[in-house]
Amino acid sequence: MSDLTAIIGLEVHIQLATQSKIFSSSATETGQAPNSLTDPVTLGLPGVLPVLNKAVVDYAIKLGLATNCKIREKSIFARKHYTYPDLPKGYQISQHDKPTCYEGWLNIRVNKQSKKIGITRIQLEEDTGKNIHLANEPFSLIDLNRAGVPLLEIVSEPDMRLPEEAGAYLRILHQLVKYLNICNGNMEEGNFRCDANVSVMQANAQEFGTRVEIKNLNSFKHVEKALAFEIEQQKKLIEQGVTIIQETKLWDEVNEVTKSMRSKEYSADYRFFPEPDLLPLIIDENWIANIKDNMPELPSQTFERLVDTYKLDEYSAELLISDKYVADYFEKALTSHYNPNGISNWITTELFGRLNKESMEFLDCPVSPKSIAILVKLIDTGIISGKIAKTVFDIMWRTGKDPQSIVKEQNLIQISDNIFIQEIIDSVLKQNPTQLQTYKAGKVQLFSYFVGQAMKASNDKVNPELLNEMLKKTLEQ
Amino acid sequence: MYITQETVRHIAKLSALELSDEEVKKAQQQIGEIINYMDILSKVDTTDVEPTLHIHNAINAFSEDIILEALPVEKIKAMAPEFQDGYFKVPKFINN
Repeated sequence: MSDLTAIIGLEVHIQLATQSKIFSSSATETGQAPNSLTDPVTLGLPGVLPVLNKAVVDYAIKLGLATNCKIREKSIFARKHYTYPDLPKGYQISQHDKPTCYEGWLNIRVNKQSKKIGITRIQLEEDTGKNIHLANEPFSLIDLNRAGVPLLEIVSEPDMRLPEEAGAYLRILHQLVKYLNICNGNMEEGNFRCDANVSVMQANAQEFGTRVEIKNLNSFKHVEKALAFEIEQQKKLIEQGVTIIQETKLWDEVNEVTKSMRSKEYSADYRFFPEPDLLPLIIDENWIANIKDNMPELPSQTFERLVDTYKLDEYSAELLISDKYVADYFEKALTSHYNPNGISNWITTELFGRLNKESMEFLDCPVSPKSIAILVKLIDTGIISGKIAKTVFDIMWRTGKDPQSIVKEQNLIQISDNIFIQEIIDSVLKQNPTQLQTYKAGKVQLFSYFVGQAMKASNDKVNPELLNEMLKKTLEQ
Repeated sequence: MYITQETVRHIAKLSALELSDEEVKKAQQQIGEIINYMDILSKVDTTDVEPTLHIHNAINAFSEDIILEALPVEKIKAMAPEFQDGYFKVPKFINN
């Protein structure tokens, strides 16, 4: 086996959460009737002029600062020409040699090691419309609602070597755009899209191998799987002496393979030139300072705060900041019941576990922060046991009901009545004479057996601490 | 710079245009004239001249991030050569 290394670079497109489009004033909403959100600029009607939406620049500066980029004083827009019906003008307005943000970096952590991933550029551009190709029909349908929706394209340096590094980079970037509140981050809906460039070379080679671009990667897992598959395939080909050809592939998530796209009849020839319809964009120090002053809290700052303010351990804090919604959820829950550790545990074990099991995003979590807080409160005040709480949680998840009603309806209130508990203990010991003898003969491990039997006899409703205490006393008699 | 018929055909293809042999010849001559004029311009020494990116000496024209009324779909439909169920209908441009 030769010593082959993969080189990975990523291009991420994020849709910005502005109200209106990048160069015109129709809405950026999704899910509306086809072509109901267009205007003369979006349609590329003759004689119209694009005007830059200022909020798009604000968002770009925000992301540029958060990714340690330089902010260009004078940026220029460019026309990227291609003839495709999803862009009626015949070109996309983008940036070419003067992108607004450049030369930045992000730190990722993989296998407990920190690594700096360079960011080549962040550029402003417009999204295209959507095409619908009907099978067995000689025509296609076009919806231009998405045309002109603002995008930032974030191009990384080819600094990643492993699929997990690519995954880590994407997660960090995704986390960041959500904290900055500039993109809703929904990958399924294409609000956060990734194309991956990957090549393989001899570990000590001076030049990179021929790269393959993989498109259609709509989840972090797909990115990692597609890269792992493609790297293996390229390694095999190289070992067989086959030359890799530069091409674009699609990730087939059903069969988990990368497939060649139909090769275009001719190679891309975009004929970039400066967009004469737009004035140069000048960003001065004041503008940058103003954005800096109004920057929302970044993930690293939230982390510090969670550890300092709530005395959480670093591992829990790391889990809670993984998604801005989670950190917000946690702090919202605390307003209903102040037990940072208890609530953090419930979120990071039960809630995460269930979301994972159901393959759901945190955003779609059916349990409200208040409900989780009340559930923890019910445990903390001894009304239900931790074990019963899991049952209550399951019902909360399935029905959306609040924990108090569930506890009442299902009669789950913990029993702390001494007489009742003593009755249960007595009957358990009576029903298990052999075990009792063995216990008295010195096999003290049987204690937990009696606890289990008593819990079972009470349908898990007795207060476990009280039961332990009383059982101990009874056995000592 | 001399423009070949091949270049004209390439440009036509990029723009998804079908040109007859006659039209290719005509475009070859017309584009050739423009390029020749550019050749004259490119003889000027512009080493220290900043490119004119815009004919006005202005910068930073912005719009605020507000939604204005969209074009009614009926109007779009009236402009479109073909329209179906709210969509523009175009010849299929990928092969299955």
